[in-house]
Amino acid sequence: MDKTMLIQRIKTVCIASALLVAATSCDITTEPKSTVTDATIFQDKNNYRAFLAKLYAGLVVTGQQGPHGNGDFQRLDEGFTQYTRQLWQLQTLPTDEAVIGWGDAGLPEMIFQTWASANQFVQMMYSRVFYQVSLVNEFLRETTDEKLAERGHSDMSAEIADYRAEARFLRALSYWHGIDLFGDIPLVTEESGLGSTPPEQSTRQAIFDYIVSELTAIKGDLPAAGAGQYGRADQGALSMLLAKVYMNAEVYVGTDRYSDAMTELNTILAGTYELNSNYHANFLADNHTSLEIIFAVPQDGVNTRTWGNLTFLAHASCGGSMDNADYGLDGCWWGLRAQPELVAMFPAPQDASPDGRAIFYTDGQNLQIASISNFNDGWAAPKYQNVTSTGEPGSHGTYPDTDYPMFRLADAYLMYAELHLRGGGGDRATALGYVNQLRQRAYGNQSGNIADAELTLDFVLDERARELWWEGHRRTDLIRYGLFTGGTYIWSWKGGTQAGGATPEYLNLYPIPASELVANPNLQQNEGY
Amino acid sequence: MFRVRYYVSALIAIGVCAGQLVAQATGNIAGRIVDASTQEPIALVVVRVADRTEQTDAEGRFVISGIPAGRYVLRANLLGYRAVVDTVTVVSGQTADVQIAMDAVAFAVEGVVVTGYGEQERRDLTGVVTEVRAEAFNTGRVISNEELIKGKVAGVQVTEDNGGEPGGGLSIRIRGGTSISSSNEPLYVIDGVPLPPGGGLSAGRNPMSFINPEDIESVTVLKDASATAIYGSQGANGVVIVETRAGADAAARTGAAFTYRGNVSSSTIAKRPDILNAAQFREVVAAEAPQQVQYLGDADTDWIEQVEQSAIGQEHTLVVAGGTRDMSFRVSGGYLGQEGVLQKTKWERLSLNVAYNHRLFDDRLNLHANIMGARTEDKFTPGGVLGNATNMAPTQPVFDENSPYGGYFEWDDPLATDNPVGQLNLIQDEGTTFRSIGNVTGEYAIPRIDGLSATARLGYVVTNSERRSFYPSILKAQEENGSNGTVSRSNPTETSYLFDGFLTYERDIDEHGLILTGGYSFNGWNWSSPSFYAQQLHSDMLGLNGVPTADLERTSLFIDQFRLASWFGRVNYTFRDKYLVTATVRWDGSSKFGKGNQWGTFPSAAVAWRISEEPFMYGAGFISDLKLRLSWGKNGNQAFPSYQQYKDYVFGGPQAQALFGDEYVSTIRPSAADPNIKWEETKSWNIGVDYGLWNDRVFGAVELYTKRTEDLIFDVIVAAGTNLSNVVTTNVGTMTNKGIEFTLNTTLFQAVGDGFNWDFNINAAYNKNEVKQINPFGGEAEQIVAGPFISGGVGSTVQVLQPGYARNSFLLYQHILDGAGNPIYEDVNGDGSINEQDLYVDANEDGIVNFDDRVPMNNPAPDWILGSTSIMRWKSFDFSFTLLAQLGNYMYNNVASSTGFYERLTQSARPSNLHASALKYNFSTSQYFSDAYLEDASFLRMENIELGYTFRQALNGIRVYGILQNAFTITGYSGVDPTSTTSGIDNNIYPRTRTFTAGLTVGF
Repeated sequence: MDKTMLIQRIKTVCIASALLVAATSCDITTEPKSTVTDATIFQDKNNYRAFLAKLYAGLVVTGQQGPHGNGDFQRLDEGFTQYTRQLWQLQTLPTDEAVIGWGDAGLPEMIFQTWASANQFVQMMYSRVFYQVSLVNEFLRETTDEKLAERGHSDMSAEIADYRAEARFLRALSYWHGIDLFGDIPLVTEESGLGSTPPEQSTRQAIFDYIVSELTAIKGDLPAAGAGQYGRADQGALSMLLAKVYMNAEVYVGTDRYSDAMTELNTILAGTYELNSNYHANFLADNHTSLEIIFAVPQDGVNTRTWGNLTFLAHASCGGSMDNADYGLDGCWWGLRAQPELVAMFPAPQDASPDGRAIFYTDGQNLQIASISNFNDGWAAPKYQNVTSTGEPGSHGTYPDTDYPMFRLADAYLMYAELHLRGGGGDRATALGYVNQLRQRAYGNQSGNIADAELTLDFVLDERARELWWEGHRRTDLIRYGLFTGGTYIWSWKGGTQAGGATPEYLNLYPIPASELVANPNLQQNEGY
Repeated sequence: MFRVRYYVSALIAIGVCAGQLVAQATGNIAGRIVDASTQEPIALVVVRVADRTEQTDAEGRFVISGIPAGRYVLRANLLGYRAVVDTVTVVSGQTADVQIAMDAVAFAVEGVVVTGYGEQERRDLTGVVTEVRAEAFNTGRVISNEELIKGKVAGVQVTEDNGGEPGGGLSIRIRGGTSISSSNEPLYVIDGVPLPPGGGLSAGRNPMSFINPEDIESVTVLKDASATAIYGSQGANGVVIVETRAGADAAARTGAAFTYRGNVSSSTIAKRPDILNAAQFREVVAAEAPQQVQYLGDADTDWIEQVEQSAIGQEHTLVVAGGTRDMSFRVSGGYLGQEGVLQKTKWERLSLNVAYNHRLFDDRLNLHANIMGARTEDKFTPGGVLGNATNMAPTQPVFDENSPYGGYFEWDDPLATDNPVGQLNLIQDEGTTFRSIGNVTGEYAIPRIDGLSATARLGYVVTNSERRSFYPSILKAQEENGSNGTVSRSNPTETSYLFDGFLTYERDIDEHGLILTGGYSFNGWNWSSPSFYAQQLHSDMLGLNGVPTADLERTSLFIDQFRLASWFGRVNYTFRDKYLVTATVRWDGSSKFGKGNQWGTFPSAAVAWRISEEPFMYGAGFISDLKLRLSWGKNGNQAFPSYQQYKDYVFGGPQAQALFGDEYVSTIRPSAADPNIKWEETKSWNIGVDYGLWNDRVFGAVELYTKRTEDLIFDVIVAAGTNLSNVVTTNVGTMTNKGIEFTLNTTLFQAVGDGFNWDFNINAAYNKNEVKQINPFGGEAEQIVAGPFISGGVGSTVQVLQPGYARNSFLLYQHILDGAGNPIYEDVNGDGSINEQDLYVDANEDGIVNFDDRVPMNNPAPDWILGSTSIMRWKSFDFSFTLLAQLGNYMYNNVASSTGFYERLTQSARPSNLHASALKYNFSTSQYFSDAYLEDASFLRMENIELGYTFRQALNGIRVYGILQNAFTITGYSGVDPTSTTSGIDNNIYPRTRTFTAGLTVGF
């Protein structure tokens, strides 16, 4: 073998190995196979609706599997991260309505108003608010007319326009929760891209204005009040949301917008909603048939399973000597009881009150709460149950069929009365009429009706407790009345002792979660924390 | 120590000094050389008598004929064995029979070590490479091969993920973990084939448990970046190279040898959890929860005793090895069956390993093929049995003849503890895994270019596993959660394939030595996992084996893939054997990296100076070796899930739909993504000294290192609104590890003849981990909760990532102590209730004690890891033991914190048992976040003690031995085991065992 041959051989070897290498090396890209990337997902037209469904599902389920599994969030207990569960806890536990007996990290702090910025429930609610916002933003980015045209889906633009209005309603709803609970938060819209730099802190005022402008802009695209599909937003839901934003404007932005709130209420009062003759039917397994409900977060024992929402509310309310089967449940979680102050709002004897809204279970229960963790301290309150109004159990013992009634007509009636008393317009007789309609339903007759002189702001606040207790409104109501913090109104365990005590005013806002301050250095912590 | 056996006839023995006899009279020497501990014949031993040299064949035999009668010195040498020197007398016309047992050198100073894509003389190493040869492995019942090197290598921590569960996972940390969210496990390379990272097979469990330890020749740990950089984006956590035994080398002559090894073992629980017995429980319920006295039964049940067992194990291996001039082979078949100390646990492995070598084309082409296959059969103790055994009230009976739950007593309340014996006997949970790993490697010495060779390797790993479980409808939990009977099966399969091609050029020119290596590697991995479950079964009668009519059936399928392509090169240069330089580079392209980051470069460089070769050292006679090394390099870690760079949409399941009117609509959800995600990058420095004293009678090394990991892959909390989840997996943060390591090997007693010999090794390593930065934007508030959820409360964690503290430091309240040093439990502020305000230090002094007052403290990783091995021989006896110690590792006693308080008796309808700490602390309410439960878990453990005796005359040698594992553990930790789990959370881990093994080895 001479040198040329050798070189030739080496060349051959090199070329051969280069070919072998090339054959194996050219492709190191692997795309997901069991999921679909954003490049192709919307080739299937059905996926627009499926994405919209996720926006609604974000209020009730915690992941893609149900009741848990493939969670929306990481590093947190999935069952805890459910939207309405945390909304309810943040709105109810620090008030005169309820205590919860569990020792989960940070949970007793919610009752005592001693929460820290590291509190996991505060973090979960904040994350849920912005998760909804982010999903909606992404939905809006993916459904522009340009995108539809690119995909050859322009024929869907009318339908998609309706979807987009609903998405914007859901974003406004979450932003309302955001400014109500946390104050000055960032404003992120579909204009801000994903994965970009952390957003600047906005103000309650700016987001308040944004909510108002958004809701005003989309109103015409939503079905008339009461005409939307159950579980989806219509003008009734929108007006209720807007009315609530206006009603609390004094707190949010320091200006009163009571008459604007009243205007929105009129949309609802003109709608097809009507009081359910059975108060309790609004909280039972067939409450989706109640015409009183304006906007619900539906769940189902078969198709929509979650560890939050009504699964939490119904199970946690059950314990002690209660028989879970009576409530359509497979067991009790020994958690929630009523505060004695809530019980005291109802006329005596409270364990058999003439007011039918006093739904308490007292067998073996002490009225006073000596120990937060002892379920027998405090009256149990099975307001939420997994049986229908005719006594049939729901479809599954663990996952109730009962829906979370976020907005209902009775709330609108009481808002009308309060707005009138606060100078928002309307007339007094109508206000009194609405209040007495509720009381008549509660008492089953006119014995509980109030006289004109009794219709005061303080009365309305108490009446809201009696009518709307454990429906997630209390904290906002108490703040609007200036009673949530401070020493004017003291209830059991406020501040951490059974006797109760004054708490500092800064607690009217929850802290920006500690973890968020790590992620977004643009944010200033709320004053006091 | 060596032993020589020679038999000469009595007549000649009387003998006469050979030298004085007639010079022409000749005789022969014939003999056989075996490994002293395994009794396996040793091939290729160089035997020298006078000027004659022979090598042993595959059966260990040699013959030297025609030696003039006389008395000679015989020397037997082989790398990896202690040289044997003895005298032999040759008598004219006779054959002297010489039987030699050679001792493998447990701690070698010379020899060749594997370095990844090649091998190197140990004395020429510039990086930190520690080889543990089979002789120094841990003994006793070893199921997973990581255990072989526990305590043997400085800076390597081996931890069982689930205590004493046979076949359960193990974790290795080399010089501390470098990652937060990605894997901290090293890369395992088996005969050149990397094991797929993560594995991810539910039933397969530990991938290192599928090799029969008898088939392993050596385990080599690459520690510093100079050594690991050749593995680029996979090397940041170190590399563990496993070499399996090959057949006798091709030079050996025809023949085959059989060896049988077998043993039996018995294991018991080393320590039980400290819970109340029936009498204590009655007393506590009466005093602290009188309303529950009605639920006190009259039984006296020790639930732990009800679910434990004394576990039997047995292991058998048969090896056949042999060869001809051009080929050699080794075939081994093994069986290992090991029960767990909890009933129902059983782990069995059938393994087959075939190694084949063939030389072709005038020895220019050397072909190796190695195929290992193993089938493991797992039977699991159902999850929850151990927890329920610690929780179930000891005053309740095991059986209840009226029970609808298979005759087992169950509480009449859904939230009460389930009967662990019922779970144990009613649930079936098992798995089968088939795993094979193999490679064909060809090394071709290219003609005409001296020193140039080309190597090509094709390798594969195939794993197919099946996990089967059955929960009958008569199980209480099934009835209560509405499942009413569940049968499920999942069937994950993974296939990994590898191509390596590289050229090696090795040349010594005058005083210059050069080795150049360069090549290409491609690794692909495919994984798929179909599974189903069926619930609400109409019949329990099919058990695991079929699906009867079921009202709920679900199926799922997931597919995952990755690809890794790499170019690599290495230069080893030596000048006068004194100045050594190594430089490597690897260029990795991975499917896991995002666009723009798809290729990464990982260089390293090292220099070494053999000071002992310098003239000025000649005077220092006791210093036989002194080498100073310095290395720097950059490594990556890409052991994170695939597809992180894609914003993909996940389809929702049928139970997570939204209601639109009266129609349920299933959903799609976009995922959070970082399109630019890339590897974690670790830069490390190492400075080391290799020393040898008194002719290497004492040798070892001292290492000093720092590792700085940047671009940590971490599920970081996203700024609200900027991504599609609460967290996104991205490159954030910095962490360092700094440490020092010492190794000392020596022969404490050097044998004379068959006298007493004691080889001794001690290693010590200190590592300090520190999180430097976790915030992508460098803001001030930096504290991220971390660690697994604890038991007690939902979603509670007790660990934190915070700059200035070690990874996963504990984050707890400082419990105020009383005069006796016990945590207080009293109403200090007199407000009528005992709570945080009374018990804990207000760390931030804001006047209120809340979650912000928890402070970071201690961490689960040890400061010091110490290991020591002793191997002794005396006549036909051998004795060895391994000691292991860790200092400064902390454990959160979650069994105590989740069950050690009185209110637990009334928190649900029926009382559960309490941890005995309740009696000590008198906590009435739960104190999950109290540092009272954080304990120093430093320990010293006698890992194993072995005593063996060899009958040399019987057959080709028979060795019998007995081994005691975990003879004792000295620790101040109050829980069952101070070592299990790297997480630092002790929550009913599988109990550690004490195991006695007796066995024998027979050569035929």
